[in-house]
Amino acid sequence: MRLILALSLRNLLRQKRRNLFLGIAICFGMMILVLAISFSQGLTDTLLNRVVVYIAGHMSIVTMEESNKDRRIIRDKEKFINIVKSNIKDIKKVWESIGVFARVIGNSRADNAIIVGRVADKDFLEYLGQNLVEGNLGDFTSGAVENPVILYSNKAKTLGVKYRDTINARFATITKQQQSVRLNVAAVLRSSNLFEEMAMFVNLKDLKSLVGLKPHETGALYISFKRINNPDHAIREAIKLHKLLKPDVAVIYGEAVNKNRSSNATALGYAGDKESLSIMNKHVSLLSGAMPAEKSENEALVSKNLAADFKLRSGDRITYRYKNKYENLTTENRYRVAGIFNSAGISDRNIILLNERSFYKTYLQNLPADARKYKQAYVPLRRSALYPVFEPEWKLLPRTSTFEAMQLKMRDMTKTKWKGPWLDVRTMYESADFILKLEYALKLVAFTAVLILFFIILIGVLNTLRMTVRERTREIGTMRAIGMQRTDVKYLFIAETVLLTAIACVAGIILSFIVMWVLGLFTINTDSVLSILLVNRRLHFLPTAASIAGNYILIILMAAATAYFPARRASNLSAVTALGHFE
Amino acid sequence: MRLIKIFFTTILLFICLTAGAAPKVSEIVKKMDYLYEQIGDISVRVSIVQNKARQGVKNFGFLYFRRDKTDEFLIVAFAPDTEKGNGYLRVGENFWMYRQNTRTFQHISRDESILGTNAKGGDFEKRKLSDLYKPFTDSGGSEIIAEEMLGKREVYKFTLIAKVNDVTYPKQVYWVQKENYLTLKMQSYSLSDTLMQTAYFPKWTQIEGKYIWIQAIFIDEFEKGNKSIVDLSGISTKQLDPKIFTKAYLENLSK
Repeated sequence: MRLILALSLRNLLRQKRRNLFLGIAICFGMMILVLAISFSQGLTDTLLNRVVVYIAGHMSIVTMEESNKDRRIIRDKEKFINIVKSNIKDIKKVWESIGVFARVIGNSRADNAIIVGRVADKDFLEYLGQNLVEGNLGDFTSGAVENPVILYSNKAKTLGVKYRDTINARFATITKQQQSVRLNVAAVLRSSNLFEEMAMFVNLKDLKSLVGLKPHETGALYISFKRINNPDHAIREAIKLHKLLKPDVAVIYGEAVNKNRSSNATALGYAGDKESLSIMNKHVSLLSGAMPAEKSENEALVSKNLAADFKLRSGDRITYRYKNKYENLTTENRYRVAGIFNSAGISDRNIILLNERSFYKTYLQNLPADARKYKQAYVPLRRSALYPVFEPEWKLLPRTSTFEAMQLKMRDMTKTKWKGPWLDVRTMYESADFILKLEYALKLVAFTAVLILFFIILIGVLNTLRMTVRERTREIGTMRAIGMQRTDVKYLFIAETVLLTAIACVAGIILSFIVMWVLGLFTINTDSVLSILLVNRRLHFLPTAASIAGNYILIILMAAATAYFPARRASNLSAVTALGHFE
Repeated sequence: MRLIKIFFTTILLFICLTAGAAPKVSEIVKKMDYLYEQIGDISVRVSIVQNKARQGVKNFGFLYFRRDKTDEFLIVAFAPDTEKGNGYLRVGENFWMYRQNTRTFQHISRDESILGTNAKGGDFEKRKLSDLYKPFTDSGGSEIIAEEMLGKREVYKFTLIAKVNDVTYPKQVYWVQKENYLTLKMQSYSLSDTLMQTAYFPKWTQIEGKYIWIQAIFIDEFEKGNKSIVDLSGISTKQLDPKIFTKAYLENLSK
């Protein structure tokens, strides 16, 4: 084998010019391949880990109230953060996503912007530090400046503002009320792509207060993973999270108060759809009064036990109060007793039944303490006949895998007009589908171009080898005459090609790194949509050892396979025929 | 006899003192609700001239049909050309947007903009002012009302604050004509108490004892230079055919 390698190397050096040109072609091909793959990986990295992650997170939890896809409120963020952190693998970060579309007015003109709430954590401060053009990051973090805002240089230029200038902003709160605020420019940043320039950062706490969210509430929860290299990871984890988020019945435990007397009572909501009302009719009998109307507010059905306890009659008024889960507050509501009911199994309890409208009005705005912690609370069991009637903590939307399927899901949700919260677990494959399609299209174009290029180069290799075999037929005859075996002749030609390819590919890899470095030196100032593919306004290449090694081996195997047929032809020549060969 | 004299004197004195006093704000609001409330059917042609700073003038036009009894309304656009044939249909809790080019209906929420204007679906719902707002009171709980002149007209000026949280503006200041309780001017404030919009209602008409404004001017106080003028014409309170409030009718009208 060593002899064959030595002979191969000698033969390569013997035909320097031809092998040099062939080597240059292979080297160029390898360089283009490494460049294309590194650019494609850089593109994936930019889109998934820099763009998609800000637009939609790699995975997200979204709850929408009143069947309105734009009314995004998570009332108990801690509950969901705990579930995610203790069950989902490979998490880099879970963060609150709050962003509002705003009209902003600076010194020169008005423009649209997205005001994003951010916590000044280590990562964010590091990012700000790296991109700071002017300003003082201390203004953002110290709390001494009222409503500090950080914006990108292009937006600052459009608005005609600088450090310490003010910007007036108008936007809608979560309930769509108009809000206006004066923001003080704390810093101006250099943007790395067009996508970023729309954003203006304010402190998350300030923004939550401005849009009407309480500290324990948030817009949506975004989850990012430690580098998304395997796209299935987010989908797998989303399916897992979806299974974990099965809702239970929403229960409020508090006390009913009437004429200075109080008694523990549980409040439950009942669904107003036909199916639920039919179950209600079957298992609940009204002793007096009537069911509250669907659109009525602050009317209640009271259990026989509670009515007897307080000597209540239909039409009477009753106060119901309960402790909130957060802020150490107590909520007090007053209801008109619309009817008194009896139901096997629950009538010996103090229960107040509220329609969907009345129940969620108080349950969502004043989240109750966990009723399951109280022994006296009535928590319906899943096997109970009335279980499907009671309103849940949330309704879980089915998992979808594409943007189109998600749109259909949203359409169906909007139709329901349900007042409670709909919960959706999403991945970037639904939320940022358009970005991923762009990434796929760009990758496909790059891959096809490289494939065509390599096909042309391999035809060149094949042709060169055929010529070599023809030229060296008499030499083959001599080698065979002095005792070289057929397989050795075959291996000699294959080894020559493999050696040439291996050396040329190494040169191609080195050259590709030089080209990447040179291309990375140029700043590309474009405002087109393609600027989202740039990092710091430069082309972003991400070469990885695994992909380079994989492609190196692949090219060598392809070259060996290409060389195999001419080499076999050469080895099949008999010594006599080969020696008698004349051109 | 002396007691009777004292009684009548007191009554006379009370009448004299209260004759010139302003009514309570809540009473004015109730009166306004009564005077502006349309019961039955109405159809109207709406034209909006929207002037935005640096963007120029845009004209919008649509037909508006409303039936209060069944809480339904239909809007179909006739201007600009890009919106022509597009429409909105509200039947009870369902609210659809119709796109003429795709011939599709889509469920939307009441918060969505109508035809790209500043108007929202919720603005076309029938909701009483007294259900949405309550009088602003001083620290003693008394309603604050002032009498002043707006141009040459005598008006009551008072402030209302939102009772519910799904109204666009949480605070509004009204200038209501003393003579007939018609709103002449209204200023809307944001949650942070910044003046966001001033509206003028210079022209009103009376149909079957109820008042409808036929011209309104909305001035954007936040972004100076933005102004919208809304004109209503062809107002009719004739009973509308129930088939108007159907998807099929909107589709046909849009052809």
